[in-house]
Amino acid sequence: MQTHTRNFSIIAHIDHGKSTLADRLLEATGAITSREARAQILDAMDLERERGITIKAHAVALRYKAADGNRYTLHLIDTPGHVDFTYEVSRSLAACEGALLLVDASQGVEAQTIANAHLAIANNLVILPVINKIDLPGADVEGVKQQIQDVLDLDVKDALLISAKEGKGISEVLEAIVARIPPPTGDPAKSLKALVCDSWFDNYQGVIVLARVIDGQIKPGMKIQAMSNNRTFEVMEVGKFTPKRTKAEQLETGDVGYVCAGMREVADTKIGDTLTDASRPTDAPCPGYKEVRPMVFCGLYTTDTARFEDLRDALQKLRLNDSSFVYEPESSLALGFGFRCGFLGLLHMEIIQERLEREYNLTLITTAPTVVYQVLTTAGDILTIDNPAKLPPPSSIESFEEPFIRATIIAPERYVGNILQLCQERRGVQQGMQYLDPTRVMLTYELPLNEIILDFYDRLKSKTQGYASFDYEVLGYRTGDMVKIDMLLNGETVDALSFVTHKDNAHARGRQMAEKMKELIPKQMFEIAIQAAIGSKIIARETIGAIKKNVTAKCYGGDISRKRKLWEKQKEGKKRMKQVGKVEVPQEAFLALLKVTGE
Amino acid sequence: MSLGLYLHVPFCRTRCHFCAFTLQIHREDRAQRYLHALSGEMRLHAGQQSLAGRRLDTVYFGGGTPTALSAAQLEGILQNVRDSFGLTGSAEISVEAHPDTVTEDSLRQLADAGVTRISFGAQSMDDSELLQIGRRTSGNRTQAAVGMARAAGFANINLDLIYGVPGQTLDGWLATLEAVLSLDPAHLSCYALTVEEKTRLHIDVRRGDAVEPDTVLQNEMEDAASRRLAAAGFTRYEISNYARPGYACRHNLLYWQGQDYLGLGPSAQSYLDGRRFGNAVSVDDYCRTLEEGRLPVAESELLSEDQRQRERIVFGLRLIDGVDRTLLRHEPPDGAWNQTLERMARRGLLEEREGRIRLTDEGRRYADSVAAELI
Repeated sequence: MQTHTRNFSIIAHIDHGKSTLADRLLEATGAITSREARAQILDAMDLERERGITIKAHAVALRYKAADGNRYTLHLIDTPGHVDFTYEVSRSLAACEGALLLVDASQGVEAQTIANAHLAIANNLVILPVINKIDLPGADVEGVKQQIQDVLDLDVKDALLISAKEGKGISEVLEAIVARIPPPTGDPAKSLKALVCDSWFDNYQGVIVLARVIDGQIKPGMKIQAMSNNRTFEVMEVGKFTPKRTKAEQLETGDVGYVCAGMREVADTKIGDTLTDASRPTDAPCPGYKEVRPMVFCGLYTTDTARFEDLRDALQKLRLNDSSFVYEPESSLALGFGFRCGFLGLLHMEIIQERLEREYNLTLITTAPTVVYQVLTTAGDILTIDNPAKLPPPSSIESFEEPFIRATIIAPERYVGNILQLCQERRGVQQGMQYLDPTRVMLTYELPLNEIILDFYDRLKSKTQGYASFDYEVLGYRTGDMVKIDMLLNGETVDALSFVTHKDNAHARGRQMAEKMKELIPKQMFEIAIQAAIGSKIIARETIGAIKKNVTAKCYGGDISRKRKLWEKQKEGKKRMKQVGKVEVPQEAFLALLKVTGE
Repeated sequence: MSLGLYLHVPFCRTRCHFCAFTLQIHREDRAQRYLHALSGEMRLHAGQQSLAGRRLDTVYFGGGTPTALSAAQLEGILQNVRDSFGLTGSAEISVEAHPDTVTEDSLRQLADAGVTRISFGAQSMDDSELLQIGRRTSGNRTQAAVGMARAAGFANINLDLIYGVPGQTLDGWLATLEAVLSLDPAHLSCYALTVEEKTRLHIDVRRGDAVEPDTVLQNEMEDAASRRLAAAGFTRYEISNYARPGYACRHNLLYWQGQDYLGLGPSAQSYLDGRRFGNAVSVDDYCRTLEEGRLPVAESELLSEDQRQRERIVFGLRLIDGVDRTLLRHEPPDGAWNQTLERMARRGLLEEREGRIRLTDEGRRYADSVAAELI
């Protein structure tokens, strides 16, 4: 019954106890036993568990008998917990009426807390502040309440105080959900309107869609239409996760559950899309749908060129489950055949790479990640550039635009100097600085995304001894004085090493890269000239001298085994060498070089 | 298939700065223990199936300094070799010697015992260069030793030389060559000085107390030696070896031609019936294992047919004559012999002539790079 339904999410900074609280809610409502909870049901994939983040959202239906004597159905909609998935988070939140804002009593408000809270506020959710880990020695409940009030302007009078680990305060949380989060509105009599919160690929049933029914009902046999692309499908099965997948006769107005409708790939219905009755479409789709566009691109190549087709198969399979990443074949003179892949962000990129390596047993070379630039040519064309190698020559570039972000950084006051310095180096412009409490500061900065994608977060962590938290939202494109730097070996451009940088840094970066190449590329039988160039202008140069000889002077019976083994090893290493003109570049050198591109 | 025997004598009076071989400073008690162990090792091998019915074509005493042992001790070993394995009638029997460790009498005793070839570690004829590499001897001593060897009846005399010694100039090297040519040896080995790990030289170079050999200069020295020795009637038959006609070292040829050899003594390596095996490196481990009645084999590896063939090629290419083209007729499992050969021919490292594949002059400088492609 709609009036006895509550839809909510838990939003929190990483490690503030979201999964533990979810487990406790499942246990307290009898959905799982405490033994099962150990596995932290909601995070299905290994990678998620290892990184402590949630990548794929799922929804669990909990049966709860409240103190008022009524039975309620509580839909807990899990949200991905990382900045790369902002859009997915916002769509999951759009399926809810309320959210638990979970904050660690000893850590306080962090960057992700703020970013997620803003998303919840933007979706008009009722937000229940929940302060966790109250029995830890460092807990400062009053201080944290004050921060929530000051920074997020939320009423903390009725903040819930819990220890999810100890199971304290859980029943109060459940009661608050029932009492303070409103039931879903929506009209059962209207035509079906359902919001797609998530979708994934199942080997047996094809795509499974997680949807929130806004109006009407959805049941097997119905013809439904995805409003973004007008494709129609026949519903085969609907149901909920309890957390086991459980079939239902239909999903009612206000329900959150799954729909199987014979879709072959997740791209058939994207997150944020509206499902409606094909015979009686709703007049207004759910607001807020947008095509997600990859923000970060890189080239992926197999170290063993013979495995190119395996990489293609693996990408195809991964894409079945994740329509937010894109790929298309590309070739590099230095690396052979591979794919240019686009990701929502850096974490998304790392996750895909790790899955390719782990689940498909591939060894990959990744070129330096790049953002998408917009280039206005002197001929008046606007080019979208996701690969520095594809940039036109400098003489035909009229102007360059690069994506900017607004970053929120929270850290103890003593690190502020370091953070300002880092942001300065990365062309950041400070927008604000606010004390959360006497010791912690929130900084907001506008920064070019290009300066973030490689190692900003790592550097931030190391400059703040791990204390800083960081989140960002994309602002849009701004003009930037950018140049492309090509690296040349004996006059041949190593396409995979080209990179875009701000003009002010160009000489330093070119020189740094050339020096690094000199260090990493072994001497060969001939001299090797390393050059960094902008267009035809050389901005840095290094030389690797030739090996004049490589021969064992005295080679007798005692040496033969040793030499053979040494040569076998060298030959094995050579297989993994990449050839640029005559110059052989070891794979390790490539990997190391692609890393320094961002320093 | 020929069969050779290598005997490693792990004793010297002092250790030279460039030397990475297994050795101890000579002491009579150590020598006694070693001789006892060596005798045990021969006894254990003599009973092996793989050697049954095969006589030795070559015997080579290397080291170390074999002549750190007395002539009588060496004679004893050689007698033991004859008794345990048997020699062919024309067997080549070589002994390496330090010029300071021989007398005319001791050399005569070796010749009488059947030694056919004597190889002196001359290294240089310039006393200051000798000092640089930690050899407290002189060019005069080498000259004297060669004279004594000739008087003792040796015609097959080799001198080992090293070029690229710290401080050595091209002229200094040419002077050493002239000096040794005047001694009329039958064979010369000219080795580019290499800084081996864990040698005194290596430490000195790392500390900046010695200069690493200049490879460009060494290449010039190599060319100069090759020209000068050819003019003097020597044939270069391997990267570092030159001989008058008929005096190529048959034992060393075994190594490069993939023939069988048994190695005795600490750290000695063997290649028998497609198996490579090697002895314990430390003299102490070697002796102890034999005292317990076991062979001191520390590692052993049976090569595949493909590996044997590849070894034949890469070590065969060290020979100036190269290898027979037919050795490469079987495409190996990973294929592409021809592509590799062509690529290296294009780079001017290899050439094919009269059915043989050889390294070019340029290719000889990069023999190890070529080997790493072909192995």
